[in-house]
Amino acid sequence: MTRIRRPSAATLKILTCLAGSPGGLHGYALMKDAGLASGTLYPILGRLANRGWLDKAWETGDDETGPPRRIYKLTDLGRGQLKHYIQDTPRPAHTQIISVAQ
Amino acid sequence: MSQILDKLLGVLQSKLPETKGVGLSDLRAEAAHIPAGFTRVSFQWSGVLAAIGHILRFRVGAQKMGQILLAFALTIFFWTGLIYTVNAPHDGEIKLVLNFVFPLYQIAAVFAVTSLGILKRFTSVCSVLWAMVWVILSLGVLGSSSLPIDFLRAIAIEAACIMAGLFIAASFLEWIEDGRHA
Repeated sequence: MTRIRRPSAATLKILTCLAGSPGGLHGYALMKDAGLASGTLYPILGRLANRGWLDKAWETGDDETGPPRRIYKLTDLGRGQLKHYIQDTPRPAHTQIISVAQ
Repeated sequence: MSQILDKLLGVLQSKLPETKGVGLSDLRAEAAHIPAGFTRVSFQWSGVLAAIGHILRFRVGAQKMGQILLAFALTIFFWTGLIYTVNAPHDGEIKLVLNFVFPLYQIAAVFAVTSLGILKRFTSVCSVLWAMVWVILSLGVLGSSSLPIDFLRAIAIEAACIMAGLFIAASFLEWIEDGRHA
């Protein structure tokens, strides 16, 4: 059985930002929303994708310039995990996070 | 600059095991969509630092990296202290004390790399001895001597605290390795 530790504050920030954007977010937008450095963000995104908490797809829109880029979306599993981890977090600090996750 | 960092990210990406990927390919793809300039460079630079950190962790190991960094910090402390002591216009007694204290940190640096067990023993003994020196000096036994008592007390308590800190650091580094095998 794989033991999953309680997510770090940075991971919770990322999950919360993604929960508030049903259409998904690019890495740069996510970085700005979560207030994290890219070197912190991408390893966490990789781990979350491996756990199945988020989907990462290549964006191939016609109006896009430059190479394809990843767009990250929270999966149902990730949304469930976010709810689970914030339920025992003291209010009111995470009241907004809970409402976003729901 | 941005192109150089992108090439560097490519090299670092090739050094990381596939299973331990830290999203460098995604980061590089995203960087191409960020307006050129400081924003893009800082985005890439953060990725470069993270990749170097991961490579060192996977190839060298967290414990060994901790040992090397601890030894590096102690070596810098030793050399800057020594250079300062040589050039400072202190009297002979103070120079003598400093010349005795600073090499202890360099010895600790050697132990930090070679054996954490020896480092723990060395720092615990040093910490206790320096604490005893501080207590003896505080009792006023040498009050009538011409020695710089206040300076010696300051050095003794500082050395005791630094050695205690090094003992904690060595214990923590040992615990990292134990935790990995648990």
